[in-house]
Amino acid sequence: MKKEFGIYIHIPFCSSICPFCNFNVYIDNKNDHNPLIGSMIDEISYMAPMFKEHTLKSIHIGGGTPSLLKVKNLEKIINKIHKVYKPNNFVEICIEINPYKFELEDFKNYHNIGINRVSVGIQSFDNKKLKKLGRQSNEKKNLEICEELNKSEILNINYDLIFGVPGETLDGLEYDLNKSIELKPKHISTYLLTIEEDTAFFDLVGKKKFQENTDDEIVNKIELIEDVLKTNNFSQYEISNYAKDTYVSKHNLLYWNNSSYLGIGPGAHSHFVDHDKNIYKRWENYHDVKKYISLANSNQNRFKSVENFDVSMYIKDSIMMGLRLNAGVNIQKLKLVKDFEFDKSEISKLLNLNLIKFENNYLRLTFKGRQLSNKVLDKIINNINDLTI
Amino acid sequence: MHHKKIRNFCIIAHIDHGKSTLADRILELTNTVSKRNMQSQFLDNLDIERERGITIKAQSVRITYKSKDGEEYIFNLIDTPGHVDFSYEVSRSLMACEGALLVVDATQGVEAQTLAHAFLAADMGLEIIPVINKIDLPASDPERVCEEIENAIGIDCSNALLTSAKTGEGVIEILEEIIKLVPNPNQPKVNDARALIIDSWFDSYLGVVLLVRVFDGEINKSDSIKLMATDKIYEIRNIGVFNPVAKSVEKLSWGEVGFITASIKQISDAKVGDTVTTIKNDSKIALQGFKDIKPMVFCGLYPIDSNFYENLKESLEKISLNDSSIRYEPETSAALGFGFRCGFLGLLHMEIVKERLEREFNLALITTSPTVVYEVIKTNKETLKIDNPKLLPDKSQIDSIKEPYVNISLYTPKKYLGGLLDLCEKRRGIQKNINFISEDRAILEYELPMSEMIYDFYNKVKSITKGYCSMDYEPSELQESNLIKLDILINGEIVDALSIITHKDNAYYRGKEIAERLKEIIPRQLFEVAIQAAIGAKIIARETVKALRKDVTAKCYGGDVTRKRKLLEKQKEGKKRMKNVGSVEIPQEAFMAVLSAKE
Repeated sequence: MKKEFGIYIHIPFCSSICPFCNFNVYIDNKNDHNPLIGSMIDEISYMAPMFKEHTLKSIHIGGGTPSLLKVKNLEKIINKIHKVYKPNNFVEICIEINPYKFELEDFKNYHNIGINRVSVGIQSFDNKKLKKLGRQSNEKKNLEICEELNKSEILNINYDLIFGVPGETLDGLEYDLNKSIELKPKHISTYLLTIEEDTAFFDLVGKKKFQENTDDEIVNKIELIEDVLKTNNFSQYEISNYAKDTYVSKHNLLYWNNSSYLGIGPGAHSHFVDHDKNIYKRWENYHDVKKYISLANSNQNRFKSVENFDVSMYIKDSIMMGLRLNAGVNIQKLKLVKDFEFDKSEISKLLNLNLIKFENNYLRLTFKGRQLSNKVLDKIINNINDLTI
Repeated sequence: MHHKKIRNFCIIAHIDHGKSTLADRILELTNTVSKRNMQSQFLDNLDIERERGITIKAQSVRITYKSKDGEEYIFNLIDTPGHVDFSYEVSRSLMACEGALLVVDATQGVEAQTLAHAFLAADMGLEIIPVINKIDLPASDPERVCEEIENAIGIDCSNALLTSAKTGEGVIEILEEIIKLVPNPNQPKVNDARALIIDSWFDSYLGVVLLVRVFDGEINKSDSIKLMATDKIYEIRNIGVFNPVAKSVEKLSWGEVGFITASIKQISDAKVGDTVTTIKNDSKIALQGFKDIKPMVFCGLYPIDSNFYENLKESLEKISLNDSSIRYEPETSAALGFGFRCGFLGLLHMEIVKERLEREFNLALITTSPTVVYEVIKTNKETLKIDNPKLLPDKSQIDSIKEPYVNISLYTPKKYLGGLLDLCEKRRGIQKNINFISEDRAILEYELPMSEMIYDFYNKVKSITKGYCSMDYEPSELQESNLIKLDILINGEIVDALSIITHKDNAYYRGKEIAERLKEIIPRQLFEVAIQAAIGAKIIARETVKALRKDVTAKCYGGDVTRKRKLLEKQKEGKKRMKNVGSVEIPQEAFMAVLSAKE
């Protein structure tokens, strides 16, 4: 089997913390970024022996707000990766940017250092909604950055949108979709607002000061999104992701295909798969920036926790992640890794309820199944008896 | 042994009025147990007893007390089980005594159980010594409490003892008063050996242990004994007294209390209230009052995971070793699979056993709603005893149905009388008596179908009276009623474990109520779930649990895998508390839903 992987670079700084975000991010106090960048560059080399048989397919610079970094620092990171992992020219290099913090000159520089995909945290074009989401940007700024980006040499552009915000109507959501489509990105991600623990929104929900959308409202909104985007030639390939032509996110597909990835930076997660050697591993770096740097300085690994697991867990994870894709999971192929059996009566119940489909060895979710994917996954995965693996 | 120096007594008290604390203090002050070894509340053995503050198995202890007059006395303190389902056992404990301490909380006053037990003790001719406890508390009002005792029970309280079992104040005075007031055991008229079984239990080392009070003659270590209810003969292995640990003696003679172990294999052979006699001095006449008590309340017990059927069986066997009042027989339910139909003395007994099974034996159980035993007379004159609603014959074959009644007494502050009267009337009760025993307290007596009493009655009483009412009951007789079977259908299929027998006049209301409760309890599923209540083929209520529409994780990237997997594992865990009926997942508590009334 092909051994491929992606690298995720975590930049843990933002100029403010959004009330819905539970990522490992800290307020950027304009400190010198160099020590952290130095440690991350060290980690890139430190981990190299492990991935020496794997081919690098993508680099994703996320966070946080990577656009807070000086281009010089981004260049150092990318150069180091090139030097150590020697990817070919088709490697996808993507950066997440925040409309609030960008300079026109940056796009040119981004292109020059090899970045070929930009993901913009638009979230919405509606000022009220942006305010509710605690974003520092506004409609005007969002439009401006999209137009500037269109003038640049970077072609592969994604917009992140959020829906399901209190007070948002179907019309309001349609406005966001149409505004996005007019600006001609190649890729749109639409994320249902999720209330995560340790966020400001979570506290509001606890105090009953947060009017969540009802399930019916949300399903209507999802129907609208799928409908509008389909009409405009965006095809859905994952629960929250739509792409024109072949502009899918190569990096994110590594996650959904349950492939390997190396996370660099504080709090980053990694996954290592090697069927030949029967190695399946996940680890997570220390979250604290100082701790991360000090471990790097003493030339130790930065792992907060490591989990070694077996092939049966790999199979379950593959189904759990793969069913997020519209294409589904190739069960035949998965059985080549290790044979297993589904619970036939559960599968036939799900088929009868029109929640799943089985075609050409692919198991996938229907529209109805996607909305209920957590329940469907429970029925499928929790009924693969460990003994049958 | 000088029989004139023996005093056999028990303590009558309501839950939390201080029975166990007083017993502890007596053991301590007489050096029966050193303060250092004093495990708080020495006489309460089981964890659940200690947690709920109630005594299930009676314990007994022999105490040596040197009185102020310089003489040494032997006290046998006989414990009484302290809850409503065990009134027969209480009567046997009382029979073994010549006197009783009536302990009443100085801040609370007389409660229903105190009353019921005190009347019983008075009927049996026991000398009753009123003890007003907890006088150390600021809210104590001994005068009012004395007045209540006088009005309610009719015993003179002018010499009532004031104590604080907690601090030890007044406890020595109690011991002195026992010597003065409680008669020593009566000299028997015959030499034939007769002893009463006060309690029996299974000890894994000793086998079945009998706690006995010898009334006539004596029992020697070398004797063979006969249990008169079964006429079975056993070799004695050991006899002794609890002091408080077991201590062997050569013999137990009339007036004494102690234990016997013999070659008895099963607890069900050693029935409480039975008479022990010896082969050497064989008595022909048993002591009075023996009853073979029968379970009154039945329910189905099923393991949620059918793989645990054998474990449940073994656990029931083990628990029955020490509780001869439990009955269990295998039964099968279309909805729940293999399980047991179990019989208990009452609702509280049922709850305690279920809790022990879950806690001590680590089982996850489904309990079906409890039912009483109905007597069905069929048109062909055949009589059936029905302890499971699904076994009720078709209407066309039934001539009449009789149901058991109970006499219930409620002891309440006057201001809640109205609410209680309403409740009892709604529950088809027949008023027997209202008695005002003080300025603001009354006893309400009703005859009530037992099925109504086990249907969320006590919870209702507690909520109407804000917890200020106490309740006691005793079984009365069977009466004919207009009863029918109510079925519950889930997605068109009858769930046998949810069927109940109810009075015809209440059927519509109950059907609607159960359907509504189930709608709240059954979570939304991948498809719509219809809940219906039916009498025969006629649907009388319907509720719908709408299909779930959305349960999706919006974002799932590298950092989310572990969390997402844990979520799936949690879902799997959650399902252990669910039972699949057809393809509907029904939570464990749904099967008890029929039990909680709205009203």
